[in-house]
Amino acid sequence: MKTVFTTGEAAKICKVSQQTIIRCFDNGQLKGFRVPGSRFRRIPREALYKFMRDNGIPTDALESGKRKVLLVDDDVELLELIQKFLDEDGRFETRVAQNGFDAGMMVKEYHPDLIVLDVMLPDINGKEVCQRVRADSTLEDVRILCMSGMVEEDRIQELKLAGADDFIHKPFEVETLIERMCVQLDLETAAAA
Amino acid sequence: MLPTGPGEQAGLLPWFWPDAASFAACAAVGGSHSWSDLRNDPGLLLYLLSRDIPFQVHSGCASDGKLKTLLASPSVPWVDWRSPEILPATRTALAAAHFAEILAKNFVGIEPAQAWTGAWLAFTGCLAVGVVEPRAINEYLADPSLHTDPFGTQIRLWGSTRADIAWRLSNEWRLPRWAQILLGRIDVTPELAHQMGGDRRLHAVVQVAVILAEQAETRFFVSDEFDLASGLAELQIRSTDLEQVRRCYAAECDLNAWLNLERSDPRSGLRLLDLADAVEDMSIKPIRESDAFQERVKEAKLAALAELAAGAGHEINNPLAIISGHGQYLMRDETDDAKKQALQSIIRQTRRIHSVLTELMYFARPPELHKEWIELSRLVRESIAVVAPLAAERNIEIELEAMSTPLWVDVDPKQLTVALSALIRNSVEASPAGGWVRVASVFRSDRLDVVVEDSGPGLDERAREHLFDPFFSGREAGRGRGLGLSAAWRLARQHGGDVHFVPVDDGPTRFVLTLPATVAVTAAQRKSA
Repeated sequence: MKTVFTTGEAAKICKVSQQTIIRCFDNGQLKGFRVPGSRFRRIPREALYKFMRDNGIPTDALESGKRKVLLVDDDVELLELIQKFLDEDGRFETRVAQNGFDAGMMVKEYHPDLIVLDVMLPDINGKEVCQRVRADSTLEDVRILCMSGMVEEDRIQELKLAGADDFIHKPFEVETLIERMCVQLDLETAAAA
Repeated sequence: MLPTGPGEQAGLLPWFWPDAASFAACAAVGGSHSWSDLRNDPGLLLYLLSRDIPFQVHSGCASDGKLKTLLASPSVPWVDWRSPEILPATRTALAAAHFAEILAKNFVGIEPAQAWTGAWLAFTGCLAVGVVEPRAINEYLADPSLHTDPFGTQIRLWGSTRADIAWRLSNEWRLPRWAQILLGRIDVTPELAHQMGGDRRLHAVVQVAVILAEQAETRFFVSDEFDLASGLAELQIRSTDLEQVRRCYAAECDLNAWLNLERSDPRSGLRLLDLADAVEDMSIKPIRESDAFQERVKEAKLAALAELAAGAGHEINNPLAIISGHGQYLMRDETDDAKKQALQSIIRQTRRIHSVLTELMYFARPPELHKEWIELSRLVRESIAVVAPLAAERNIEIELEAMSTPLWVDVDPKQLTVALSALIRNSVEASPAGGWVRVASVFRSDRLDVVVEDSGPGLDERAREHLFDPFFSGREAGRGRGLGLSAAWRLARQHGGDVHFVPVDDGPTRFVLTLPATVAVTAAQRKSA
């Protein structure tokens, strides 16, 4: 488990700007130290945890240290399968939704770092889910990776215009899926040993 | 009240009999029937129109049993369209068809076959009277009050007007909307025809043709039912241009030749049901010279295929994702080599199904072109690279003949690579182990050819005919498997080009992908541009 964070990492975990973290660090609200021989700021886990609790910031992201992923697909078997792979990978915390409506509710409540979204859902289609997420300014840091069995190139372009960050065809190599997720989440692409 | 005059009965006709010769031509197994043979038979034209697949006779076209019912109904008399009593009407209709075809070909860019058929439809009201009572045509033409009151004469002699008869037929006969309006409402302006669901320009062409035909042949006063000006305005041609149409008609069209065609009652000498069976048995034999219609049928087929591919994409790729995913999951911890191989095969085959669907979609609805300038030889090398692993595996050598001058082409590189690699793959798959495939590009004055030759066996005629047809299943082993060739053809067509097989006597098997010359420039031209 990570014990010391940079200001950038702390900003991501707290979902605030890096400037805010630096300001709080400099005025003493957020305890930490500077790397000997330089001016780089470092924040120990306990200090970050206390800071988050004191300021009412949800601490779950720090507690797990995992990236939050919302998997949306109407096919339970596929959801379970991807979940199994992601659990074994160990870097992701997952929740699942089986339709567009549930996905919309969970995006707000769970605030995932990434939505892995099947675009052919029984109710609201994926394009609309993308548009709704993009229309909500509180969700602007949420990345969207769409997946689908559809084969029409033009419709894939439409998805990207609607706000999807990436697209993967079904069937896919699960390794490729995870790599593409990592790119969206700024994670190292090779799974941590 | 029971129908009395010939007009009343004419409005109730369920159809016209096609000639025996038309039936025979259509039903002849392996026989060829060309549009120019069949288009002079109004009965056949109507029959084809009512089948929704105009001018393409295909198997099962009468499978709804309608034809059998009609054949068994003796109430419709067969007429010889050349008989002196009806001849004035058929000659005028035929003249109108010629005029409409000339107009369509030379002036306004309408499908000539459709214009031809439309002109026949405009005279169908008169023809129907002739079918019911052949004498009624000449009686009408000889009537002293014809010129002062043509419509009154029609009512007096026929019991109803031509327009009324035609309108009733148009409501009863199952025809495409454009045909229904030409049959039943030739009197309306092109604009109104359009509002009613007809084809504005086609309507104008037929109206102008009717006027010219009644001037050239016999005046039936159909042309008095509408105004020439609106038709000419629609087509943006001047009345002086009509002189040219007349000259063209006089030079090219010989109505007398038509008189010599063989015509006879299809019911004579044949058992009705044999005939019905024969027609139902018609083999797929497209009629030449009706490309425009065939093109439409093809479009409709492709649209349906695209729909299917889109639906299948979702329905099939989803389960494939699960199958492949489980395979991958099991692979991770598998140490047994045999089991590992089996799992690998499962995963590989899911990819294969996926690529079939993708190719199907590519064929049915290729994505929009994203053109850019690229050096042709680079495109060819990249296409070869796609197939190189397969060639290596099968021990086939791929030779590339370099061009003397580098050529740049304005194409969608991705799509053209798909097309070219499909051609090369086809050659690699057909060549025996140790064989070769040769790729060369030739810039000609009017086009650019990319030639792909191989040492594999050639193709027989039947296989050639259906080579690019994805619906054809009787391919020869080794060549044209999957949708590769079909997709190559389609993508070349997207670029304004084509793909064809070129038979070479005792030589290699040769496929040529052609692009219009306009897409290519030499490096020097490109620099100076």
